[in-house]
Amino acid sequence: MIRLPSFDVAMPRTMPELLENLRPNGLGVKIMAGGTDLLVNMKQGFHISSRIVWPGRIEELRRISIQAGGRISIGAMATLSEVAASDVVKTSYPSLSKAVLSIATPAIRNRATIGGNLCLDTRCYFYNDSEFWRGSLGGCLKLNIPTHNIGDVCHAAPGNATCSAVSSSDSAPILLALDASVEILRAKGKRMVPLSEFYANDGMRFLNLAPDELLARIILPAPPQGLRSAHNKIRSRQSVDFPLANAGIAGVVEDGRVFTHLQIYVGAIQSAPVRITSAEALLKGREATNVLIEQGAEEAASCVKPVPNVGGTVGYRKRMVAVLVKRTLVQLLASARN
Amino acid sequence: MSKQLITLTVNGEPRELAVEPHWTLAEVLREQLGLTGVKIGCDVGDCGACTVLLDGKPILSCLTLAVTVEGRSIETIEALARNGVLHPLQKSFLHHGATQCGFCTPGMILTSKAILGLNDTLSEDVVREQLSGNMCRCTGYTKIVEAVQNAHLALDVAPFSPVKVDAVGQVTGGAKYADDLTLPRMLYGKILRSPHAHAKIVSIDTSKAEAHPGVVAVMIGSELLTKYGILPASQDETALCIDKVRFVGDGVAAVAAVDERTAQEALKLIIVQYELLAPVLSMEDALRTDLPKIHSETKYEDNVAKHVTLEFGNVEEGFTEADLVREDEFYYGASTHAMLEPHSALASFEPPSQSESYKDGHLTVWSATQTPHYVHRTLAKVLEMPASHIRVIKPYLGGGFGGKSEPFALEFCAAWLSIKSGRPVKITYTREEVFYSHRGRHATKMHLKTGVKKDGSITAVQYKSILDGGAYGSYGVVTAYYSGQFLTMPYKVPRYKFESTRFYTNKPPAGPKRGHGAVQPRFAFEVHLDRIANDLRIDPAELRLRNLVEPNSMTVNSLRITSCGVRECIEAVMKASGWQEKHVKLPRGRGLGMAASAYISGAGKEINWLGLPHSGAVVKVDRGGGVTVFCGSSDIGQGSNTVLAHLTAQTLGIDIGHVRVYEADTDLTPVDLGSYSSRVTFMAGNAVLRAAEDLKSKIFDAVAEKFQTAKEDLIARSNEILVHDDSTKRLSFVEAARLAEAKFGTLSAVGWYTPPQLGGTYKGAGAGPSPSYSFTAHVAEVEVDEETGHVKVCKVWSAHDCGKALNKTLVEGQIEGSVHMGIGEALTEEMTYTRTTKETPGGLLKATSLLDYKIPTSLDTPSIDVTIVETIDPEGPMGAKEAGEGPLLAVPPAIANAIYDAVGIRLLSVPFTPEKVLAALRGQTRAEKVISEPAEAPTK
Repeated sequence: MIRLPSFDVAMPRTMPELLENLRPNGLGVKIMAGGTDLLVNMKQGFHISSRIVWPGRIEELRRISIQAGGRISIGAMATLSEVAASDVVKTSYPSLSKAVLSIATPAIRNRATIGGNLCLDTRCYFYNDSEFWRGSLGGCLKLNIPTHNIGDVCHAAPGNATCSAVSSSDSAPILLALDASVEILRAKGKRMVPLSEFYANDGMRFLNLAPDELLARIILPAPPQGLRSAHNKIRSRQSVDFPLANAGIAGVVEDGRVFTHLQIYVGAIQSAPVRITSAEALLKGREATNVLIEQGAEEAASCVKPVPNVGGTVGYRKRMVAVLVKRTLVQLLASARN
Repeated sequence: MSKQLITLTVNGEPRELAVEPHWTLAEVLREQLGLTGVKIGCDVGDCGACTVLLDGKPILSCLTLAVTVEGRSIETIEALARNGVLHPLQKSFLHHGATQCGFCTPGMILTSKAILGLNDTLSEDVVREQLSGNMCRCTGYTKIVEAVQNAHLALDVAPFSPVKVDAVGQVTGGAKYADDLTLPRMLYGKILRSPHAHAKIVSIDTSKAEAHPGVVAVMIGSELLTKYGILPASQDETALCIDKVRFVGDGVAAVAAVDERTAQEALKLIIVQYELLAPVLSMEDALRTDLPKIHSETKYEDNVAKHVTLEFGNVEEGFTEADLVREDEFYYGASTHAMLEPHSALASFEPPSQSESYKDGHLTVWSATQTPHYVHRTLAKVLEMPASHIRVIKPYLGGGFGGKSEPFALEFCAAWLSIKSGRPVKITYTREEVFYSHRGRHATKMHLKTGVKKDGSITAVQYKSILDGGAYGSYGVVTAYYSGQFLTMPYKVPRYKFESTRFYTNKPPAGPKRGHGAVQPRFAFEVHLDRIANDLRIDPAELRLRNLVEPNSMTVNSLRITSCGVRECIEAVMKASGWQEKHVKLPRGRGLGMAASAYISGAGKEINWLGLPHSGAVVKVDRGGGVTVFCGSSDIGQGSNTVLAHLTAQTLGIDIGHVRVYEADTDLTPVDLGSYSSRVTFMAGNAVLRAAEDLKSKIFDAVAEKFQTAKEDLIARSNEILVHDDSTKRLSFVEAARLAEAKFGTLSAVGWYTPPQLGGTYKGAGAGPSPSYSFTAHVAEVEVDEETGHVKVCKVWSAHDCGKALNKTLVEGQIEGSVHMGIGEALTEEMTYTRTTKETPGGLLKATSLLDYKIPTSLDTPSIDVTIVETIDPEGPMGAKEAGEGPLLAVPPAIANAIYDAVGIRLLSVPFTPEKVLAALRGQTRAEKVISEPAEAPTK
């Protein structure tokens, strides 16, 4: 077996206790949600920390509920299985349920959480490998190996100064399209951040989240009248796989043919999900003919800039963005026409 | 950090455990509680083998910290059988033959348990979805899905019959695999590996590692200088590298420590200085004489490892005679076995009683190997110990497929570290190390030239292949020959020439993978033949039928064909698939493809050409009527123990339940060469059959004497010996055996099998001959998504001639598993490496996990329809021949041909990735857009 390095685990039972644990103490604290990604990374020799905080005992962080005004609150520690099976989610936003069910495997979804999926570390061929393998490579931008005194090279896109490791979350694009916000807690206070401001297109610093902060809840607006949404992904095999590309799209269709509201997000291509505003502009307010949809899809593909750092060639992943956007838009129109 | 006390319920019992916060649940369950039914196949959440139930829901114990399940309830496979009665799922798995190697079984059963009982009948889709995180490499999922769907039928005590004689342990967690074994004072070993593809070792400093608390022994390559290799012609490996490293992952040093964590840490304290050499990373590089040689001792100036050329008849004459000569180029990417169980070996050394030399001591090695005999021989050679002082035992084995069919570094290192430390040492590879051990499918470039007459009859074939062999010889010389030798079946080839070259490169060594050597050329030839059918406007099935080899014939390269049911196979899959109604008639995007193949039932020549039997067996009877079979054969999940028990029981006329098989223990069992080249049913089967016949003869002698009747009048049936026309004269088997013991003394018999003299007299004639060949045909139906390039295999119809199915379910399981593996090779699996650039070193294997190396899941493997064709082989045991490898060969070309039928593109390079599909669709020529016409009457 691959043995984890030693660390301490704090398992607070109450929110105040949890927040106390997040207080900066100079030791470097790592929050573990489901652990299904973090522990893999730790077995591979990164994210090493002497102290892990696990909020899994705090019931209120797992709650999924409808709040005043019809807003939906999903505790960050709710497992992916719980989110997918939740009546609240299935009734209000079935596309989210479907997106979540496409993640990983049934057993992983029983442990992995929605908050963990939103904070999923970015991925790259040259990063997600064993310590031995990365040592052979000589480190990279995202993973500086001090002993090798190397760390300023990007193997995926030589010459790039920023890391392009990929945001592989399957829940982020659809939640973004649905205008979700996140509630972030720290020892002193909390803040609400629109999910659209939570991500940065930088493979190393991809989250607007300080080390002493915790993503506590995801808030979704009450489902707007007539809003349609869908999530689709492409992967090499039908399970045990991260997406090669995904798309989460939400829109309002009038008369079954005109998008009056539209948000298109594409994931698994860059270090953050990408909103394709130019395609939205192109598509909105006009009759959504096949030609127009093709144009919108091509526009989306032209907006994304993958580098060769995960499965699939760059050209293929760009092409798949067009396919996904097209298919998802067609799905929204079809559901509006039914 | 300090231990924490946690309380939890494990399998219904309250437990209080002291655990370190960083211990995973898998560690605690396996090592603290001895619940070794929790299997570790990858340890990073990809394979699902470590699944346990947490409050009734499946979770991965390798990615769960034990402290986080405090107060909760954990259920492992060990809890399912209650009061000596199996759980319905366990019964159903046994009844449906849903276990082969059994390594994924505990996880499969537990994951299934979570959805069981929701309603009576679970749909196939629901089951496949639920099991989609539990990888299985043996079964093709078919029988597992059936077992889960039908488990409710076993809820009561409905009668069920287990398919295998040794599967109960697999469904209860009782079966011990190599990594499940522990011994008192056992140390954990780890191997330090080369970070460079090609480099000289300048120095190794192990002093810091040796001084590290908890480290007991450290070793480096120069301590075991003797070279070894599986073939006499490939003695090019050492236990650890001595003066140079040849691929990223090559072993350099090893440590043994009190626990695995300490061993892991100690590796980082070993300082190795390297002098980098230019790496040879492609077959083109291997031909360059300006690059360093990987093995200085070869006779070639470049990195050629083996070159063979053979010609049978004058092919030029054949091409002149032909009406059409077609040439094609093909590429087949490297793939690996990805068996679920990582390699593992436990060595225990007992010092000599009378001398100071370790060579007089005794060594026992339990290893996850397909070939204990070869491991035994090679340990003796490398350790310079008498073989009589070494015992090799294969415990339950979690899948091999060729990936465990020769000695590996861990066996020597565990043994040597045990000798050095005087304590037992266990080494288990991580999943990444399994990928470096490789010995899988050679990446192969191929050129084919075939002449045919207008009626489709073949006049000549010329084949050329180059093979990327990686860093060591392995079985590579055989691979080079096999690459060419099997193209003369299953179609008649009157003139044939082939040339085959295997290269050394700085990559993990390639070797034998299911269908060894024959898979790549079979892909090439079957696609080539489809194109010829298209050129001639003959239905591809018809073209195949016109060219088939006949039973009791000889190929141009002197392969002796005896039983042969290839025609029945093709006809069976045509009928089952609705070929006439569907081929070229399905809407665009959907298509049907066919391919056929032949494969050996064991190699006619033993690796070392010693002229000794290939398999031996002892059968003995105890006074209670129990019959014990001792045979060196290795059950690696395929069910050879069951086959041997069946042959014995059938011969002696007793219930299979009275037969026990002891296998794969070099102290207890006569030599069998191992589970490779599809030889076990045929060869060990014949050995056991011979022993059982001899035993029966003794018993009959005694009974005939008692009844004063002719021996020929006796029948052994239903646990009795009877006189066939006199119902008053009968003895129970127990009584009869006692009678025989009284007459002859202690009752036992030996049997052995040596293949007849086979093959031609030309140089190289030893590679290819087999006492019998199996035959297969597949039809695949695919759906091609022309936007994503994704190929979905919707259904595969398979027919296989296995001579006689001694156990139908086992044969089906081999076919279904072969189809799964063939689909993976065809579509998603490939071993690729980093390329050398200014920034990036080359030669790093890109996919070193089961996440990145994409074997098909239950959702990627279709339903498989199997027809067994029986031809009763004249020399096979009760008519049987192989079923384990042959059914893989024709899968990739059947898929390729189906893709052509669906969308009119010819994919000439395996795997058929979505990128290649899209590129081919973009580059479609007019000619290739024309889907082949249905058969026309040949004009001549």
